[in-house]
Amino acid sequence: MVNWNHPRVIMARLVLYVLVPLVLLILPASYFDDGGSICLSVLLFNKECYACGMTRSIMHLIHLDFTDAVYYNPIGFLVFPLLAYMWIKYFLKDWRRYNKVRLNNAVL
Amino acid sequence: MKHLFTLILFLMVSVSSSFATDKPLEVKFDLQQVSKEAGIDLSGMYNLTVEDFLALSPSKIKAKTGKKLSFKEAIALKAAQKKIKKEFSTNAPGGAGSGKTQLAAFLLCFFLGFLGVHRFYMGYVGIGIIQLLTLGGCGIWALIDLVMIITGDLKTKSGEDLEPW
Repeated sequence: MVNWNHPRVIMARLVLYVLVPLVLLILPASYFDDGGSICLSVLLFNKECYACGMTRSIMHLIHLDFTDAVYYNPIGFLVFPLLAYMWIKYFLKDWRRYNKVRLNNAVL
Repeated sequence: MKHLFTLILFLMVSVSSSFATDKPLEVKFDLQQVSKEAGIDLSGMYNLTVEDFLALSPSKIKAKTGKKLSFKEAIALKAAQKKIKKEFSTNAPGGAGSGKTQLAAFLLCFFLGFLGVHRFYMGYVGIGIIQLLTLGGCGIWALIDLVMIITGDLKTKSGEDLEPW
């Protein structure tokens, strides 16, 4: 069983929080454009669901390519701020937890 | 509980509306005409096939013609591609069946059979509502449907067989 509150595990999470957006920014904006769909709705019913194209939309959005973002999924404009908010919120939460645990360990 | 009921109702409506079968239309792929109706200027592009058109995206158009699409044009492009894709799938030669597969029906029946979703999928809206209200006919009816879908005996409302797996 993983101890999610172990300082090293928290640190690994913090690194991921920073690394994932950086990697996505370094990859070209069209990186996900020409792949097959893994959406069940598309595979079974040939019907795009409301989340289809969200990855591509947000990928173009973080590269400031707004026209393509609208083309792939207009809802991305709504989802991206919410996602960014949650991302920062959880980063700060883990950051505080990391400092607290480290402090406790130092005292003990 | 109230929210759950609303959610199920919403799911039912969306599923049944998306599965409503359309009469097959005549296929007409005049891309210039379609794009003109959608308000997209394809004047800089020649010899477009349908596949090329479906693979277009605003950045590809910009790379080819140098023209930057507006938001409105991007949405129009998507709508036009959707329209062509829909006509293509309902009129594809060889695949002129119901377009409903045994796999989809099986999965719907297995996971959501107690809500009668597989019946909505196959076009039986009336039976679907009955199964929704009776929890799939006390589970037994859904179980019978499941076996019939596996053996391929259950046909769609329009009398066609499901496409095998």
